[in-house]
Amino acid sequence: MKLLSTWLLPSLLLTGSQLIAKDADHWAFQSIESPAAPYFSDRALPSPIDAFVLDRLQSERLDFSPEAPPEILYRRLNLDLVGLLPSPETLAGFLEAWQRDPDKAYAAAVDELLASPHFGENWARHWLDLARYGDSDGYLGDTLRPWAWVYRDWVIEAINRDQPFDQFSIEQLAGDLLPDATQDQKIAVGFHRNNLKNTEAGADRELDRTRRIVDRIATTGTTWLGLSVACAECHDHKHDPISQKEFYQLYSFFNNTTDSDVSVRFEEEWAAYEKRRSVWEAELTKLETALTAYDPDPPASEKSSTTWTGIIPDKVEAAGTDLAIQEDGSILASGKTPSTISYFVEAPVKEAKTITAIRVEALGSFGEGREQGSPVGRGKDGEFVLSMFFPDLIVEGKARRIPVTSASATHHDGQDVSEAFTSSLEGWRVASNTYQTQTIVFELSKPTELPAGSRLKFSLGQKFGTGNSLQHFRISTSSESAPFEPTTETVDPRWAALRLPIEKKLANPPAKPDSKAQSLVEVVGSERRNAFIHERGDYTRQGEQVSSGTPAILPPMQPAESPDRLALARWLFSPDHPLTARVTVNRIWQHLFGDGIVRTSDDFGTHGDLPTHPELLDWIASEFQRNGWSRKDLIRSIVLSSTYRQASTNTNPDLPNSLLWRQNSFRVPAETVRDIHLVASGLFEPKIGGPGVHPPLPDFVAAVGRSVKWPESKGPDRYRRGMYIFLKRTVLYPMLTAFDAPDTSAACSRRDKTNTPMQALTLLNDPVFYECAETLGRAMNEKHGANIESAIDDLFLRCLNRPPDAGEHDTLLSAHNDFAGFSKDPELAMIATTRVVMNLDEFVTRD
Amino acid sequence: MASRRRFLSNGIGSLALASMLRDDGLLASEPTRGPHFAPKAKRCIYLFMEGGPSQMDLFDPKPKLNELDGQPMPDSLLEGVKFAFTQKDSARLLGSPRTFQKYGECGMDMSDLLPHLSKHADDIALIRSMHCEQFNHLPGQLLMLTGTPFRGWPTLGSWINYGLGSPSRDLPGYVAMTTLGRGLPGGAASWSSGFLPSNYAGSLFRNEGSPVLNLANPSSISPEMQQRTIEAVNELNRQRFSEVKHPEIASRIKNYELAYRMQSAAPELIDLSDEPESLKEAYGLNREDKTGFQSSFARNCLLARRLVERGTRFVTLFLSTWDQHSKLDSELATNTQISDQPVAALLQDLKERGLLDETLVVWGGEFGRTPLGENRSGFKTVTGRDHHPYSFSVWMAGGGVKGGQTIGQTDEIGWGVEKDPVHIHDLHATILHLFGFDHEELTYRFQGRDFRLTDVHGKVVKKLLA
Repeated sequence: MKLLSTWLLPSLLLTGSQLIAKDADHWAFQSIESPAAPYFSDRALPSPIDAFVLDRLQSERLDFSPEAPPEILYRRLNLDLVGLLPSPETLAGFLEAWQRDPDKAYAAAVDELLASPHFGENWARHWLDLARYGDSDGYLGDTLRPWAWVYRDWVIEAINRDQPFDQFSIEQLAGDLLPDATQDQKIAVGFHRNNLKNTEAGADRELDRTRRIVDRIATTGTTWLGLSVACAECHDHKHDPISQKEFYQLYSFFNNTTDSDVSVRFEEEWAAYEKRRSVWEAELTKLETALTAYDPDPPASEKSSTTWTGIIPDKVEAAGTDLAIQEDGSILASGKTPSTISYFVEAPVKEAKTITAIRVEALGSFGEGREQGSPVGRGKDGEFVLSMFFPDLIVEGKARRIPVTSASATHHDGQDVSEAFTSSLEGWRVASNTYQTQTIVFELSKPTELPAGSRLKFSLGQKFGTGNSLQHFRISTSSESAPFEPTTETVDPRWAALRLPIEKKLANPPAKPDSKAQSLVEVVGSERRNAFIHERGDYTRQGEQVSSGTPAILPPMQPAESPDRLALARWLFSPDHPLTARVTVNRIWQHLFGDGIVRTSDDFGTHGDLPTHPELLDWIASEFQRNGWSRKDLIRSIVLSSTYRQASTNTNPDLPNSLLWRQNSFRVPAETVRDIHLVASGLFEPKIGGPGVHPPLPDFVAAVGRSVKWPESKGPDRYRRGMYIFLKRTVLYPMLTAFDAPDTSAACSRRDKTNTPMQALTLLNDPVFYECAETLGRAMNEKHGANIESAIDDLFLRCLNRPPDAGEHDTLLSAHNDFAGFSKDPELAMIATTRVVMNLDEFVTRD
Repeated sequence: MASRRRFLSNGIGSLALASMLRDDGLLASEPTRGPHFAPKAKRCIYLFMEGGPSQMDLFDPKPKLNELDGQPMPDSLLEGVKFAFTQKDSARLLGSPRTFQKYGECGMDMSDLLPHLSKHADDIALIRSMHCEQFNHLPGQLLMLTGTPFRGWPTLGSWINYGLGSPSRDLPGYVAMTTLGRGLPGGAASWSSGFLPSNYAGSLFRNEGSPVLNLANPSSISPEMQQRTIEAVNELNRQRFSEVKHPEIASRIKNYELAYRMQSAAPELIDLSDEPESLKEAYGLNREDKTGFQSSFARNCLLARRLVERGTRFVTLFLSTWDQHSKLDSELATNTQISDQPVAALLQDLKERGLLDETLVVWGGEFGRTPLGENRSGFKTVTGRDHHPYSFSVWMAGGGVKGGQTIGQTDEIGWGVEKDPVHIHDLHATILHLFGFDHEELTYRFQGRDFRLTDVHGKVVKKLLA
């Protein structure tokens, strides 16, 4: 790009309106006409598309190539519409129908594939490139986005039900602003949540906010306008009529849009929950019945024989947990549960007395009926550890430790409870699921006098960890003489044994579904920001204030007091908008021919390529609008054309194909490379949607990012489509990257189609692909045994959807013989032969 | 093909081999752009010291800073300044405990932490006046690696391979290797080709085992089966090509041949048995350390030489991390313990083989560290420094760089640049210049715009050129 130095000068000489005058003639800014298709009296053409293409071909004295053979056509349709390979059985069915009536068979195949749920997956994958979909934030930390897939699944579903493209778009740009926005509309607006987010500690948040808005404008521009709008971020656009001010007018539409995660209700998930819940209820009822049959009432308790006087604390303290003094002098912990903690309890001594022992009660209780009781501790299952217990006597501000000589407890879980006053990690430990009050008694070394006006202070430490602290406890003293029994209120052990499982059940009800979606909302009220031009794109340098608006070169918006995102979205679909329909049909064309009618599908501006067939583009665009923006109708009309159905054979290698005298042949997209391996091998798991999966990844690849976890998927999830591979932006799945899957940093309208030795290594040696060859090779060996010739035919059919010709057959047979000679293992030889077929250029090519 | 493998295993100099077999298009199918003028540098080894090495403890002595140790900083300097973690109000200057000496005929300052590198002072151009605006790791690293603080842009190595291609027929033109403590903030973005085609992306190499992903045959496939497989694949592809005439099939055939060659070349690359023990000793390959970082980094340095020797255009070695917010003294010493000896040995080795003249070696991180001690809340004592983009040091050697000079100057406490500021964009412009490119002309069109490494910035630092 000739940048500022060369751009600044002319822009100083030209005013904005002159700029527009200069570019107003540009073809893409002219309104879409609906040209009549050329008429051919001597040719029956299935579609007006063909008339436009043939007309152009004939002007160069060219003609269409012949139609591709039916098996190639069927493979092409499968790859283009659902991104998968047909099974030998469906292929056979198609060929049979073709024998009867080719056109009818073909049209039926098209309808069947358009109705397949995999159609939505394949075309969602194209859309997700524009949405720069990812399952993590990107940047340092690369925080995961556990709910990103909800948006991805919405796209699949919306495409499957052929939601009209205008609605599909409006919901993604402004679903939250639609009146009474539905759950789906709030999910759809997650389109613009997919961009990168920098959450690095200490990062400049405002910079990141502005970058995310700029990206939203750039992505909106690429996706719907086919314009590089963001080029005008720092200065007026160099070659397209978009001024810097106009850029910030677009920016203003998004300047008050903020992230919001919304709760979503999936009926399937709730049905599963209801089911779990009713099982839980039934189990609970069974337990309750058993208890009721024994004794429904909580049993009466026994009292201790020693007289204990509860202290009445006036001060309690613990860092990180809330302690509250109850009316009976007991202390209740609530709030956060730090791993380890110390409780400090102080109580005034009102009257002088002499004490001989101190008792700590860990108070627990069984609940009644459906009311849950409370276990004695704050551990995960109600357990606790009292690691340290130190009493102090404070006289006139001076603290003196009260020495303890022994300890005994009602329950000790196998521990020596005396550790509780000798400082260790353990001490008095009470096991999980204890709902009965437990006590420990500390016998003092000698009777201790407490003067009136003095204070008692108790330190109760829990050093064990995992939050195993006391929950509700009471401290008492006694003035009687030994022995002290650590008695407590006891309940009938048989009753308790029947109540305990009920408590456990009550503590673990099935979790309610808590699904969310990444959505956007509009900031309201005084928090709203004004938008300014950022001088040279630097947000700290505010220039002129701007209000929301669209570029002057394009038709005006419907007048409104303060146009919002919804108005912007609707403006894209105003009948006289010259870009949206053209850009969209061009991109769909691109997926069906390898190249768009405008090759630069991301740039319809003055520096983009000109359309090879401008009238055809307009005719399709106007049909698209006329047919209610139906994606499926558009695709159907294109694939039914003769233009699409031509053979791709390059009979004239010196003649470029921009005029479409043949179909194009191109390597399938990265995800499809994976998917067809899985399908051909029989390993394919067709499940649609849900959270991303983690196929195996070598450690040294997974370890390059910071704090990366790659929890390898087990079972059928390993064989899901490539589009479901968890897209962690710092650890892109190497196989997908090798085949040009975008890195999702920005909207991608056209993928590269590179051809590299790394791809060869991947196809040859990637463990997933080898596993596919192994699986299919084994199956072929089992099915065909020594009949190698029929195995070769079968392999060709499964992988290339056609029989081999004689030369191919001989070459593969000779290779197989060599493999058998090298390995002396017929199965391995067949695996190696399969591997050859799966490495053929044709296997990963859509002809 | 088989004869070629024997050729390699006979140990005939691979450089000679590479030039004999000079190929137009590296391991990529894209045509290359070619330089705008004769390049001085033919290849680059970029030693990326992730995290921000502390310049005033290594390259930029600040006696005044030591004098003012414990004093607050003048308010005027702090105005408008952003820190990642330091609390401005109570921050105090932190002197350096290092001792500095002047080295080489040029009298370059280096600290006692660099006993090996200091012997190469006369080969090095030390830039003490680097600066940028990014004070966080990832934006800073992306700026240093791609010219922007954002993801999605091509790294320097991708640009150079895009511009020049790679003379290596058997190995990728762009290789990244890592010695990682805490991992890399950008992960694979650190060698990404961004919007350039993916064949210009760096390949992550391991320094042991199977160096490249998917390089090794599946365990049940013997070498002879692999060779026969590729023969059969290519034969069938040729038959197909004669039928349908798609040029991509011809590329596919070529790429299977290249892949096969890489399968022997890459293991040969990391097999160091033909390197003399004395050289391994010099690199510090056999140093014992608990973490393995010392031997790993030393090995990477030696492999970097072997890579450029075999024609790889661009090698980046990452050493992570120099991010010493605390325990600066001991951890900086650990880093230099890991890296000083191998880096010096690499310079020496390149020189002895006559490779240094055409191999650009760059050493540096994404920013430097503050003259202030870091008093992050929660820190009991101040033992480290925060991120500092306003001045830091980077050095370059070889590849058309004029060694034995120190460029630029920071103020007396090392806060800002006082003389000859060199922005990261200027560094990039200079590196491209050394490779024969006008940085304003090496562009790639993406989303309707012509992009370049230096965006709208950058000027060549003439002083750096030999």
